[in-house]
Amino acid sequence: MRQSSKFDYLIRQYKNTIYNYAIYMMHNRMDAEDVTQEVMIRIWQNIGKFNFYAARSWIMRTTHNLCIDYLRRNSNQLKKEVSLDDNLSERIEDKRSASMPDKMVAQKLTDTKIKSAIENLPERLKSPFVLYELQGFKYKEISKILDIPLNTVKVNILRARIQLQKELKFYAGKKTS
Amino acid sequence: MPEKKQAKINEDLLNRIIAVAYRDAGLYNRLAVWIKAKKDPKIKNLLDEYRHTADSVHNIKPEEISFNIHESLHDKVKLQSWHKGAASKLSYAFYSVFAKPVYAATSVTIILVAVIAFILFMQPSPKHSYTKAEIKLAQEQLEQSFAIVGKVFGEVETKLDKDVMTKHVSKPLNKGLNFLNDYLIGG
Repeated sequence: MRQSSKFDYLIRQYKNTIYNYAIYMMHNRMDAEDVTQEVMIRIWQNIGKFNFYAARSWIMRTTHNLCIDYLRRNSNQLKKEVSLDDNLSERIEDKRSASMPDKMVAQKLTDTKIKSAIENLPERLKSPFVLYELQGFKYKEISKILDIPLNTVKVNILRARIQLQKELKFYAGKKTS
Repeated sequence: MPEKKQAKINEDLLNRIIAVAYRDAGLYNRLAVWIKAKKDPKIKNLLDEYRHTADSVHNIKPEEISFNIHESLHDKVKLQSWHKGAASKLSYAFYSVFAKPVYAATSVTIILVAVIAFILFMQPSPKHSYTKAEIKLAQEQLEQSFAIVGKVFGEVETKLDKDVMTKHVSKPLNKGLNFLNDYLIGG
């Protein structure tokens, strides 16, 4: 009873955090859903073994490790799935936003561009960047989750910011030319 | 018009600009970069570019998971004891409050303070009932004190009339007037 309550709470609380992190890591939603499910199963299997108060770090560490495992296993199929899945979801969203004002569409385009630029970051820069900027983790937590020194976390986030800026400039250059 | 001197953006300055743009710089760095950006348009442009990107990154809304994770998990793991509905919502509310040590400590403190305040305020205030003898005694004492005050006022009036007015006011005044009369008639 108590364990299932805890599990229920953790699922409701972290399902979207896990899913969003997995999307950036896996580049496609199908794999992200698989990873999310797998993490949930791991949570259920280990519900009594980890500190409930430190669950966030434990869950994100598990998510990160699972993403890395998936990436290693599926590295060959990955690129094809990216284009298929992302195009499909964007088409669905385009239909929904057809009646929306221009501003919303422009915002959506910017979002897509930035998401794509973040996805293109190398994994060692992307993980700390996503955890810090998009999911609100602190440097110390990220250091624990990724099992890397605190200074490396800071440096990698800085490098990610610089690289993201370069990527977006490249996009802008392509758009204007 | 002389051209403004533009500083070369070194690595340290770039790091500071980025930190300011992403809003995780300290007050000193924010001020330093702001002053430099005011002086140098190159730094201002760079700061604006990074700030624009940072704002866009922070504005990305998280995606919601599209499939029903509860259903899919039921198929994969046998969670017979996993309750749904009202009980589930109740447990979620409970763990939302007590999920973090800080929240738990705060909640417990608030509850304790509320309980103590309730107990203190709800306690009946002590009522002292006086006996008839006490009331009578108090009335007598009040009358006595009024009598004393009246007596004092009477004595003061007598002293003022008989002693002060006649001796110290009327007599010197008469003496003065007599002297004045004598002087005027005599003169």
